[in-house]
Amino acid sequence: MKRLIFICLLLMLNACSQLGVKPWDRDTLAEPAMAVSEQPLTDALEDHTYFSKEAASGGRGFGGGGCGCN
Amino acid sequence: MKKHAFIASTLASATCTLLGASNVLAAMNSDSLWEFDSAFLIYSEPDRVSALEPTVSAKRETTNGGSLFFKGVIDSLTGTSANGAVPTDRAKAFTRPSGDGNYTINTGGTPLDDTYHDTRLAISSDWETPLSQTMRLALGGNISNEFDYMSASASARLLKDFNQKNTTLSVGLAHAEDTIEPEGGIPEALGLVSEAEFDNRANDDDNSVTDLLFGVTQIIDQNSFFQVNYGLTDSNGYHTDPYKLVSLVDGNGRPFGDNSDIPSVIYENRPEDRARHSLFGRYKRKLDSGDMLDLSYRYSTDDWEIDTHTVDIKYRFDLTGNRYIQPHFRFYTQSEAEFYRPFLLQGEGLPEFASADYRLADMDTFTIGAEYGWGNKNNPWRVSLEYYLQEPTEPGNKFGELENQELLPSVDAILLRVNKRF
Repeated sequence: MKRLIFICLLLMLNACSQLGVKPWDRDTLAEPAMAVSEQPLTDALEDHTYFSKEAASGGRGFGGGGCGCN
Repeated sequence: MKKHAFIASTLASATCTLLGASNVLAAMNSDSLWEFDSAFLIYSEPDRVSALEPTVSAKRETTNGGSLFFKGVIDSLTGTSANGAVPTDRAKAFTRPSGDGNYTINTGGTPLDDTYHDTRLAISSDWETPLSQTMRLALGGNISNEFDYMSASASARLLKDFNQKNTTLSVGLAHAEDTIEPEGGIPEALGLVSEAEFDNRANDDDNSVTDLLFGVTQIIDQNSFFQVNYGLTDSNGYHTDPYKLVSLVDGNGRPFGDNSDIPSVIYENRPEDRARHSLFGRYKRKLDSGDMLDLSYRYSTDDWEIDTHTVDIKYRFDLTGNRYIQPHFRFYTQSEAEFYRPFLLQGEGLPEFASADYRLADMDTFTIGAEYGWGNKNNPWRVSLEYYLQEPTEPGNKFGELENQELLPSVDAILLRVNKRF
């Protein structure tokens, strides 16, 4: 099983190596709106709201602890 | 209407707060390297919980290419919360969580604890530093305190770039130590609610949570990237909600003991261990028109047998003059916890674990709304208005009087948020 996971990871990395752009072609990706976390405060407020109302949390970041609301 | 008036007045004060804060922070920012960000969230459920959540953060780049980040949050909650007991056709009185007096629920109403209130203060920091041309280390800390709960956590993440920084792999570890000190003490697990029970309570209990997170972020082309995260959360300790109850119903579906208006209810009890796996995928693309698509999906499963799916879609319409409007839709569905029991039967043996908390029931939730942004492209104002609906599935094993009652009514909420970066 571990070997299979390792092979899958290698295949995934190999597939990833076929993607991407040169550094000088990243003007659009460098725009604030295209950041991975464009609005960290909004993300945190959303995560906290849903953490207190639903049984799942996390995913885009760490998911556990920090509040007695659930 | 009362709630709408509340939202209007709170929005006015939130705007004033942000405008006031903007002057102070802009003055501080004029001669420093710090970037400030702020947000104010109003969450309001008609006849239930209302929350105000102002938050401020400060970030600066360090001379070696890293960054420092600080954040503060105040979270103020008031209102009522479903206590888990079933509604019935007779008025009933519940002992307050403090053990000091009762509150009465009229015929047919969902039993709501009217003593629900809390204020949380949370402070966090993150420090990111490069270890080499292609590797970064991020360390974080968080302290959160509310009147009956305290949490302290630390985290570390290692990020490694490959393929001319088109691929980033990350691995993270976080650990939190939480302490709960509920009003009235820790109730006896599955103990019958009574005044005598308050004499034997412990003051507090603990919970520890460890998170492991692996991630890949991949640039696809000049306009798009995707992100995949796998997370494992292992939690050990006190998971029970000390304010939640489970009704013991008789053969007629009524939660009363003999000749009494005092409902027959026990405190809930949840397992001390929980392990949760989550898989998160996200795709973000800027289109030729200038619009932007942000799409994500999350699957999670845990050993409480709760499986969840979440789909989140944001589409940003690029308007002229540095303005945009961004509709948002989110759908979430979960299966019930293996120990979820909307009620238990009098005279039958108690299970080891039981909770009637609707947040552990079969449930779908929907969020729909939109965000409007305007002003400076890098530091716009943003206002967001969203409608959030929780729809738990009504239990299928109702009988007698329970069949005349709605045990799990839908809960809707309005979320209003204002953001400003400086």
